[in-house]
Amino acid sequence: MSVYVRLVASFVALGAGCAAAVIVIDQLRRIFA
Amino acid sequence: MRRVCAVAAVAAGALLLPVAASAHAYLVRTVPAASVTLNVAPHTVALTFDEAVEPRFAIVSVTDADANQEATGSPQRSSANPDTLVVPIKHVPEGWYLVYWRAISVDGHPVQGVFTFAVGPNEGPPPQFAAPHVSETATTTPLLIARWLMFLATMTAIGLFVLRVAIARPLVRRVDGARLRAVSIAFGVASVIGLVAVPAYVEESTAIDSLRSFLSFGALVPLWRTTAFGRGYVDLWICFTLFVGAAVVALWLDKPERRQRSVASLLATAGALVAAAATLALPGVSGHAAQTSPRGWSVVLDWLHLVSGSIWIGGLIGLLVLWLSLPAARRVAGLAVAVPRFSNAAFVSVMVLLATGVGASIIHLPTVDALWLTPYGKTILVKSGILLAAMAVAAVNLLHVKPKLDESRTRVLRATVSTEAVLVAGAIFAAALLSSLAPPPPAFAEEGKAQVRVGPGPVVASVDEAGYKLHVLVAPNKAVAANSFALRITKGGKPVTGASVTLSFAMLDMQMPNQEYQLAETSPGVYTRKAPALVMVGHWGLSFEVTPKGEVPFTALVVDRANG
Repeated sequence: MSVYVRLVASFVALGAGCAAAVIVIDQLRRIFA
Repeated sequence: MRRVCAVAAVAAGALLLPVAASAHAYLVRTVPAASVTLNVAPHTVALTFDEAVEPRFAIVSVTDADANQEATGSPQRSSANPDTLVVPIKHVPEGWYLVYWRAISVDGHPVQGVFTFAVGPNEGPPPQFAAPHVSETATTTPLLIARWLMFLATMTAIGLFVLRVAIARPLVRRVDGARLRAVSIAFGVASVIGLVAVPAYVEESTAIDSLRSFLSFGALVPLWRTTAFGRGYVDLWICFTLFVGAAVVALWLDKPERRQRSVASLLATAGALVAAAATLALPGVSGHAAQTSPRGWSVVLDWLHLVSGSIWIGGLIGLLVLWLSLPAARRVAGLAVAVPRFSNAAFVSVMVLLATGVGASIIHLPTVDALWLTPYGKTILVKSGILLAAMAVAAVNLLHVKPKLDESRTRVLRATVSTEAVLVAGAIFAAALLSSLAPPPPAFAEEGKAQVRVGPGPVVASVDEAGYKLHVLVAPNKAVAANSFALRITKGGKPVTGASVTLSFAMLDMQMPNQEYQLAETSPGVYTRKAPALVMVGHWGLSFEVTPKGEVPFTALVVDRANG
């Protein structure tokens, strides 16, 4: 399998993690606002 | 050692935290006021809370002595104050009226209560209203099971992922022919259950709150994000979905037969772990923890508690899967790699679980005796008992099985790990129940100051205070009934006349406005009042504030239990 496909997949997974973190940060912002 | 110090620091920090106040929606004011007699019939009943409760999830009923409904519409938010719910009522004749209300707090917990008012001037004696059953929780069995499955599946999936990528990974290199495919499949099964259980839980919870059927998807789905609680669990679903996606990519990219991980594998694993951490933060962010001061500590403790619990339960189930999936010839060799590595992780997890559990209990309970006097406290005791039993089994693994793992001890390991997994799953069930109960309100702290505890049933009790002897009589001591309250005050055997006596009522099971009555001296040294003051079944703090003529005032607190 192409190394590029692997890299793109890994960045998608990293992006998913970042999106989840943003969701939690938004929730925390609401609480501590 | 550094980790142990960190755990100790967290536990010590938790012990130093101030006793907190939990913040469910509290009724702060009503119009008409509780137990008041009005000369003009009101057109509306208004309830003001300490937060903006959702009118679509609120119920306000106004009934007369014959249980006829007097409310003519559903509750609406007041245009003048977003924290106030207003319900229109008919033009009611003279008489007594019972108001029952239920609202959903921002953390998803139902709160409810009752109070009476009268329309005079000829309202007559207070009637015996049917005492509404005031439950500590609106949790139903299906909701509790959905909540348990949701926690169990999401925590297990996250724990299995951690076991697969961090703990059991070297197994493939060190034991010929060993594979981790079964652990990945178990992760997939737990993930699918979690992906279904989370929305099922939100749907069932919204159905109960809005009094609709579970199958009314068209009406309920738009309401999912109406409360902070609903938003939190929908966000948990999104985060868990992101975690599952990232974890599948990470497992696909990981080549456990190679010692070094590729950059792509590391990036994907990091993404999955961040999403897992976010998923586990959300129950605290949208539940009790975020509503309990000090919020920062409370949310962090809850998160650490769930992280450590996930590593424990996921690891236990993963070890069982490994035991079953490894070929018999390689089982001992395989477990000899996985068990010691898991034991180290589990030991730290259990210590963190213990410290954060103790810390959270200190924050949530206003007094120590709330631990055995309230359903919330009792559930903590049950959960702690189950976890201590699981720890005892874990200690057998750590001290007996792990040091010399051979064929016979792997069979012991299977039995102990199965028992431990069942116990931890039971503790997660207790946790699901615990988080569906409202923690005791700050008023419960009054309980500890009580000079005497009385009830249920008619009360005859004596209290010695400031050199005075007080005889307390309450009859019939029933909720939502006209009770007669009497206080006989003597000093040195002689009645104390001319004193000013105020009796205030504080509901201890649920925060609500206190009521106060002045007692009249009906015979020398005897002060009485008849009032429908015990408006709910449960524990009441009866505070007698006595000011003897020309003397220093004092207070006597009696905790009374009133049944319906």
